[in-house]
Amino acid sequence: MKAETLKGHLDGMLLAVLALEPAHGYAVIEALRRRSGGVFDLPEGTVYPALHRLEADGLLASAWATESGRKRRVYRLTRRGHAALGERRSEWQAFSHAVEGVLA
Amino acid sequence: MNRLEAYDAELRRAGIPRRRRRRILTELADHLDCDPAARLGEPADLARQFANELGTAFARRAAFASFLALVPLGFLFSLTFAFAGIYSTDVPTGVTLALVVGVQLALVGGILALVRTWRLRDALTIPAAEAGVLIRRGVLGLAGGAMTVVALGLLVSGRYPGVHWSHPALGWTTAGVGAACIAAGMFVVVRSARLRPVADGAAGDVSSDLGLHVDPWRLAVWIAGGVALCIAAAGVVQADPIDGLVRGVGDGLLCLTGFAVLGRPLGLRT
Repeated sequence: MKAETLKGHLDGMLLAVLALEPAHGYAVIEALRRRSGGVFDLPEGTVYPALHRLEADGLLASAWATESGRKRRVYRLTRRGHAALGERRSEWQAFSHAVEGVLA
Repeated sequence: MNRLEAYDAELRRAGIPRRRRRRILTELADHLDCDPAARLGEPADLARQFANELGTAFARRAAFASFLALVPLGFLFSLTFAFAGIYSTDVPTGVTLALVVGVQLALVGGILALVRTWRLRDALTIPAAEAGVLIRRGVLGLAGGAMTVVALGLLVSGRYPGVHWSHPALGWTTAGVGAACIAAGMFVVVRSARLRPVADGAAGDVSSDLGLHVDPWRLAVWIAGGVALCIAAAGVVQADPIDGLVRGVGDGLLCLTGFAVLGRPLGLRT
């Protein structure tokens, strides 16, 4: 799938991935790829700025952690992030239901 | 120059502050360790994306913080003039002017900052010009708040024998809390303004803030005319229509002057 098509939904998907458990950037990208069955194969460079922006907007929080001797920035959802994810899920359900109604 | 050095150079060129830059590079280095073939993109493109996305979030934060900082001042200021029992016989024109202009600038700047933040709340990135408007509105609002606090501090300080208060503590509280909030707001604005988006594009004007499709000058004339009519009508009610008319025309012209002088800095017109 084209990266441009995903752009409008990237924030929601990042929030959804991090709602399951805190993760660092590489793990987030891998989870997106895995959970979409390889369909969402995003250029990695688009994900990091989005993670930083979501954190600046207060939807994510992050902290350094050391895993296997590597220093990594681990992201987690904040309370506002959980609320935003709920909103995006509702919007997506309404949108996909409407599109399905038209296309089916 | 290796890959990370190239990213560092471009992030610096895009204006990303040093601490943020170090963090980004550590994350990218970790990612490249995991996947050396990662498609991180051209260094210049990635740096612009960071600047645009973070700059957008920071500009919104600056504008919202300035509005929040002005709320306690506005609330306490209203209480002060409602309940502090202030009356005066002789106040220097400069202090009166600072108080009147400061309050209006704080009110207009703060509300406009909030309105533009709300309008751009879902934007992933905004043009550099829009970010500039958000920050200027915040700064002008806080500057108005600072003028108000200084003028109020002078009035409550006992410096002018013609000014009397029945409850000076309320005046001191307003000046003190207002000063602390403005300092905190300015701190957030200055920190946030260090990183700006770099995207091209024009900023909206006051008609886009209000969701209208009207020339901003026409809108300003309508508002000034409305103000003039209201004040003239008040003069008629108070059985002094000539005075009402003169004051109405004067205030209407002041509105237009304010629009002409502050229209661009406040992003009311382009």
